[in-house]
Amino acid sequence: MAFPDVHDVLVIGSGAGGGPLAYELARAGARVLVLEKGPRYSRGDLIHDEIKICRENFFVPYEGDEPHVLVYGGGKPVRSKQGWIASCVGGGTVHMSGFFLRLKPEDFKLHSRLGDVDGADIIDWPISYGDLAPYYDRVEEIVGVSGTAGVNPFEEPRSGPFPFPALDEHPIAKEIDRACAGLGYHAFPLPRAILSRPMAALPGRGICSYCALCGSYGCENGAKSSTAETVLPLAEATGRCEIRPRCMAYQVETDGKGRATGVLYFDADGKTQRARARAVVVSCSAIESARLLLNSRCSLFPDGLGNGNGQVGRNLTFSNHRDGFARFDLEKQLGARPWLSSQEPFVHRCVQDFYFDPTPDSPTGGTLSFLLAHRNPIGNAEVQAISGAGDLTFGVQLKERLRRRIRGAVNLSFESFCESLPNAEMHVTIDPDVRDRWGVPSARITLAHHRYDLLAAEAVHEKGMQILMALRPDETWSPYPFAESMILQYGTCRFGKDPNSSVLDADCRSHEVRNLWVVDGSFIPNPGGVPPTLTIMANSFRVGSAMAHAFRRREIPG
Amino acid sequence: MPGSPLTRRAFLGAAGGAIAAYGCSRKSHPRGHIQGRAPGRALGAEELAVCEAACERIFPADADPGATRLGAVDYIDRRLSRPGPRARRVRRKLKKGLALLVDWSRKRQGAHFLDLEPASQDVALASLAAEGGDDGYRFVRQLLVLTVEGVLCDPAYGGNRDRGGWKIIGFDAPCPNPRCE
Repeated sequence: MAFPDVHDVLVIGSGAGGGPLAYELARAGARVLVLEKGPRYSRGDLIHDEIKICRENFFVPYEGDEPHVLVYGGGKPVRSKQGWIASCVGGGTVHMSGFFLRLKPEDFKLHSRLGDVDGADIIDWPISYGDLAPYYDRVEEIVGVSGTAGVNPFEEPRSGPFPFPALDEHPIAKEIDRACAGLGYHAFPLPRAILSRPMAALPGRGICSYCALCGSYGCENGAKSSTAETVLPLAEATGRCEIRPRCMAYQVETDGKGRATGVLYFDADGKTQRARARAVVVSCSAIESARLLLNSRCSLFPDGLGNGNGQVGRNLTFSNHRDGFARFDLEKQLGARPWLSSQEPFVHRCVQDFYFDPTPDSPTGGTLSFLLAHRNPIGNAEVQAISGAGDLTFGVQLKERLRRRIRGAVNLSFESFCESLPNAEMHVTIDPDVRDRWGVPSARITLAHHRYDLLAAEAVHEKGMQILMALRPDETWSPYPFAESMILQYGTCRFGKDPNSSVLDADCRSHEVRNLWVVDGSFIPNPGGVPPTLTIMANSFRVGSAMAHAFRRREIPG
Repeated sequence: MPGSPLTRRAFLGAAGGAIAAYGCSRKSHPRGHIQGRAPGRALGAEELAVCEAACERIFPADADPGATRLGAVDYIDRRLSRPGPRARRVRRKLKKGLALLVDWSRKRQGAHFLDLEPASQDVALASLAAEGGDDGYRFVRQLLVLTVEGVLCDPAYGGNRDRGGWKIIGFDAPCPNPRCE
């Protein structure tokens, strides 16, 4: 390195956490370097090839290259690619479904609402819904969210309508509205981070073409509101933000005074490089950010950076769910319900009547979200060919299933996003044996759910099945047990008022290393009942604008 | 999803309950099926023939085309011939499995897999999955996955010819993938 590579702010990770903050800081005049482990894809790369995009390492690395180690319920450690979010410029926002639901004011006060809960370690957030609300508005405006406000009786306080009108819906959405009304529930339209109309501020972006494959794929039109289509190019347009893809950060460096000085990373050729900055922002996903900090050991921080209190990697949670399915046989139903054959891909119906206290036993719940079954042909056929228990089906019987259950039917399903309570048994640590392809020790993810997690997902599942049944399908089923969505991860560097039970302060700044910030899902103390992406982006704008303010006053490093 | 998918070995395939009734149709010239067949990119001539016959049983022609006409084996052979350790591993496993299937047919049904009638080939595959231990089950499962990929992949991979697989499953993608035009 002939010249030292020095910047004002170094951001590690370019997804929902890194993107908005990079933009805010570059706008404020800071020179920002964004290091991204994955490649930078263009729209042309985002083809709808199921094998390449969903079954290979386009977004998520192979477990042979970059393993995670999973320990489930005290069982044997297994190598897995679970727990990765997309490795590419834009991170998970590139292939997200973009269900942009806000948290509720009560989610920020879990401890106040529940009190001490046996076997859980819950806290109140150091900020309130009101502190985040303006930044929710800002995300919706700057990246583009389409939706209809004012329908959900449980809607969070919001300042006005969505900036873009709702996307078109499959006619079954109206049936869900009716079925829910009949049961005394309140279905409402799901807001999505997809453009339904052109966006004046980013005229190069296209609008939704209603293609058959959306979630798990990138958008070749630029209609999906990823950071790669929005805040990152806006940050670059300032002339002060550089995005460096294929750079794998493996150690945050510090000086003798305990301040972060920069980062060591492997470049695209596998060579070690060093970048320096006055402030370091970590946003690699809850699991990978914990791994990076725990791997950043030195004499001053023998247990990892910012981990003097042993809290880094603790309080890991995921959004939990248990899904249900319903099949409408076209042959039987098309006469009475001709609209079933509509090719509209979106249903966009959610129900939040069970968000809190869904049953007398369960104080936590979540959001139900109805959607048509994903249309991936291989994925669908695989489910018909290999049962959850491993039974194999082939021959004419397999073909018959594909014709009858998939081609000849409309498959409606629901998923849910349920609250999860942090507990001492669920965490990220560094695996003692397993390393990735660069030789960097891998993250070990230990999973053990609080009993409220299971109660919440089961209670919401039961309500979902009740709604499906009310739609009079030909068959309903729910073959899969309770599970966590491992791409929706939270909590490993939670923020809090008490420096003993949290890693970050209210501004997502390390209690211990004052020029270190963490802004991905790590900061979130509990998931609430919605997916995290919108909240991570809103918080990144919040933290970014506070940092920008400090930067303008020359208070970075603070 | 938690839990091992390898716990159950029950088999619900085309052979139904016929696992016990091992077919014993014999023709004595397996080479007849192989003669004049060129080796593939990753598989030899015999391996290719066995693979194609087995894929066709997994996804047989009926009113709609089967694996052979949809080019599933072309897909498999191409995928397995890709460079890199991952394709090499899959290739090694599949070749071992195909040899296992031929062995199994000989031992259990007294004939080369290629010389069995289709119904007996079904029995060979079914019994290998159900009674052939971990190796047998894993091979049949691997071949099942590869066949499904071969009949339903983007046609650019050599399978799903004329999008015939997609027609069966009712997937008429407004396919924005320039490669599949």
